[in-house]
Amino acid sequence: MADQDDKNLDTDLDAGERALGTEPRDGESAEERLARRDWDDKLAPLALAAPPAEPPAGLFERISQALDGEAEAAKVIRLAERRARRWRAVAIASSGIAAGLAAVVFAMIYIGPLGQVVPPAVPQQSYVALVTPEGEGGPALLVEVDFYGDDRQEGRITIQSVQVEAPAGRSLELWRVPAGGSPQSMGVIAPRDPFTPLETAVEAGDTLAVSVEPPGGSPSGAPTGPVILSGPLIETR
Amino acid sequence: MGSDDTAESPTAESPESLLLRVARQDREAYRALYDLCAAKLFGVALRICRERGLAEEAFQEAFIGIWRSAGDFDPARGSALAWMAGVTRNRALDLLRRRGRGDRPMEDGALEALLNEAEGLRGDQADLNALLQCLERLEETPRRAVILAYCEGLTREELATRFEAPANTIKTWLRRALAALRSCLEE
Repeated sequence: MADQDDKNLDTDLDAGERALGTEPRDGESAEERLARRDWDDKLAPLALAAPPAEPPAGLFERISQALDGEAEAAKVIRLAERRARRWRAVAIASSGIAAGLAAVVFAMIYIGPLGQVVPPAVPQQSYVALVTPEGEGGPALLVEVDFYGDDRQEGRITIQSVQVEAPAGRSLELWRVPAGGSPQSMGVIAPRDPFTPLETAVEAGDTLAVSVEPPGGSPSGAPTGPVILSGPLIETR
Repeated sequence: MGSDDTAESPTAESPESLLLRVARQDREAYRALYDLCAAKLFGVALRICRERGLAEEAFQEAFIGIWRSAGDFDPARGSALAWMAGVTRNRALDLLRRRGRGDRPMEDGALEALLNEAEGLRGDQADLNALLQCLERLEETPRRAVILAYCEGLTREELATRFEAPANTIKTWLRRALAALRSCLEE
């Protein structure tokens, strides 16, 4: 029995270390999470020992808007999923294209303004990237890159933002990171502004990334702030 | 919790009662909860992040997290404020980890200040008092290690540097301290 007690104590102390933060809590089993949360509850009063500090004015309004935006985004995604199912059925029926298509069709439709699935002008080449934070959901950008004309001379970037906001006094900069290469700026983006002129070539296999930069963008031509969003660029046409 | 008819003035409600209403997606209670607890929770975020911009981000994420997971709060297990402080602390630490923590030296004397502040707390802090009394019973070095890990988010490696001891020794201290805390809190 003593062995069993030792083992229980060990398991409990493992959980305690995860609650302290000196051991990672990724990949906890449900049981481990319960044990850790027991410690969370025990230790939480200590967190409150911090002196109170007044948060900035208007923060609750920002939080409130984020929650509204989230509800809105959920609606858009549900609608897009319905359309994606329909399109996927059409695509598979007509050409039997591989399973990866489903994701692409989903992304294409998700980009398109609601109620306008087919773009008015047909680009020669199109790419799409879902640019998201690492890990679980949260804010996201959908970036579509279209080239028009035979030699791709005319390009356009369309950005759809779901709850992406630049931190106060900072700019968000979009980067193209070629496989094995260094980042090239695609410009400072305004998440609420859907169109930005394209000044960089892109290739399928690039990664698009968004970093937080001083106002107006990186002074050095390379990302200087944290990369908050990233995602691979997929060729769709 | 059937009788909401008495809830004329939401600000007069306890954080527990408000949080239980938030669990039912009550935005008015959410606003009142913010007014009541934001300064306390922002203080928690600021303590860990030590930089206002980052603390604002962590606190915003945490408060959104509170909206989403209010249903997990169990009044039988602790105060609403302590539960929300735990959520805030976790978000702040996650954010620091995601961003890569910089060099975050702690000023000498900050730990003493922390303990003094903690001792100066009143109100529904019976939980804190019990925890502090148990912490008081630990030897000084393990106690400092536990507090620095929990309140300041120091990793085991950072603790090892700070105490000039091998990381394995730190681990032993922490585990011994946790075992002592557990049995003390159960007394």
